[in-house]
Amino acid sequence: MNAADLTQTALAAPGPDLSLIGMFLQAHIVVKLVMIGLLAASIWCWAIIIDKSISFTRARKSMDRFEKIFWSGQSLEELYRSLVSRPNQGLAAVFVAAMREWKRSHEAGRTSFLGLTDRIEKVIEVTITREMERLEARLLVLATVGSAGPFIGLFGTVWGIMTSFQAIAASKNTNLAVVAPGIAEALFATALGLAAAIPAVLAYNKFTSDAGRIGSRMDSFADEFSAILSRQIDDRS
Amino acid sequence: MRLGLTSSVIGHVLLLTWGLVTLPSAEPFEAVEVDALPVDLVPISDVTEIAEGKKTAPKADTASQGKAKPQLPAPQSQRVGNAPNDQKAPLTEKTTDTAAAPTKEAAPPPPPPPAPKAPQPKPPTPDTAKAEPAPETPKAEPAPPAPAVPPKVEVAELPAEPDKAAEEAKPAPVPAVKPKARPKPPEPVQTASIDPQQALPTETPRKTETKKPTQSKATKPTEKAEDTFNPEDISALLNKVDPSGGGSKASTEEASLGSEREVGPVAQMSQSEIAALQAAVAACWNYPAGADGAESLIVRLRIVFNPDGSVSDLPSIIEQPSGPLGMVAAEGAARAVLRCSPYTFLPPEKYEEWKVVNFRFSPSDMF
Repeated sequence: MNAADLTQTALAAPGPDLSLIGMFLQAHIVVKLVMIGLLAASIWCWAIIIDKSISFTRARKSMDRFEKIFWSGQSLEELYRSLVSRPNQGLAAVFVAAMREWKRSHEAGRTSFLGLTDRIEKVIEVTITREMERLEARLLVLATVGSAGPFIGLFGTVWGIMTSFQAIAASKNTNLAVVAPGIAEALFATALGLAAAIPAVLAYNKFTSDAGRIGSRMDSFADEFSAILSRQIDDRS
Repeated sequence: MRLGLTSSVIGHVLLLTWGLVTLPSAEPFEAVEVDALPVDLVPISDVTEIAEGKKTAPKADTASQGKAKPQLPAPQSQRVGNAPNDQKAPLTEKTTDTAAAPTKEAAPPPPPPPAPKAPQPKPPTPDTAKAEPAPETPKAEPAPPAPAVPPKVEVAELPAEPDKAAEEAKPAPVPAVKPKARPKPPEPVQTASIDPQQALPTETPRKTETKKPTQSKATKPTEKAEDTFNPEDISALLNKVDPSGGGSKASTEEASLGSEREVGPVAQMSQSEIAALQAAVAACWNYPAGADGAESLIVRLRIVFNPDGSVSDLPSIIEQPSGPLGMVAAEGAARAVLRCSPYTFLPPEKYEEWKVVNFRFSPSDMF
């Protein structure tokens, strides 16, 4: 990422340097790996968080827009024709899938509507599941980082303290100035772990509840829409 | 996803660089400076006192500081230092005290009374005494043995005040007596040690004791005398405060080594001096070693010393163990004190500290 910066700071500040970079560079290789891993996890988590927050707001907005149009009294045929040409998400996808199934049954020219309601409900169910999967994708990463991050950081800390105690034993000097840098850089690993885990946990909880709300909204819409369709079927038969 | 990833990476890089800039390294802890006392390993004969001064002053000053007592009224300063302007107490020039008398001769400069004392404590008294009419010196020297001298001076003063011809001669005794009376213990002690033939320690304390009465007696008559004569001294007469040199610390002298906070006694017997005294006495003590319960024989004596380190009187027994053995032990302890009598190692400049010592003889502690 900024390796040039790292080397530059390292060269510029020799000796027991307690800046972030200095602490990273002085750490044991295991602690370094832990730190790098945690940094990568943090980056990935934040990427997911940004991505999810964007997609969730988009989904909510599109659902609002669709519901407005749907309940505005517009003809379902017209709505279907305007939506089918482009990829749809959320409620629109559910509506389009149900309408497509409805159309297909009509185009086949079958007079019997037996099983059509079942089919439509199946299609709706599948679409909802697919939509929910899309929304909830990668949320597990957040959950994992949130629960495992502190442990990983703690591992780095324990390892760092272990090595610093070994260094004390080797140097036979219990001066706090000898002990302190090692412990400080070891604790830095825990700090990184917590820094990665805390936003991940918060975001995971938020996105899970948001996804649940969106899912229940889609469920209720699907129920209403299938009720409308079954009323139509009953009228025609 | 790409948007999220790139923005996340950018955010992390920004955060890390910000962290590098704003929290580069921990601030070192600010250690509170303790008012540490400079410690030197000095022979016991040297002065172990801590004087007021500056911590940064050269250490070599310590020894001289012990001799130049802070009681010197001269530099009108609480602390000899080179602070440009530093005043705590207002400068009062005169009091109802006899201090008003000298001002009469030298009217314009108010602080002359301290001035003669200024240069050095000891020399001036003989000098002024010799410079002024000779009769004063004889008076001053017989003075120590007889506490009746101060009254004599008063008697001489009272009738003499009115005549202005005699005034020149009269004010002289006043300052001559004063320097002896004014500076606190050390001076009488030193003069006493200088001429030991007559200055018995029993007298020096008495002399210091008589100081107050003489002054108070002296003030009253002079007040009465001056009330009628000098209307311009009314302010001085009204001023009942003791003369003070003010709080100025300004001085051309370099500050002496010592603590800047005015804490602790200026002169104290050091632990090693007390221990030395104890060891010296213990060496002479034949305590009844074989007796039953000898280690619990604890005797407490009050020893009064002379300035030269000899014991001035038989040590008085404050506490002795019960029974005949206890009496034997107590007498043996008193004898031990007398036998080792001149304790020459005791520092004369701290005489006030070891003039009277309550001494505890305990075989378990001392042997």
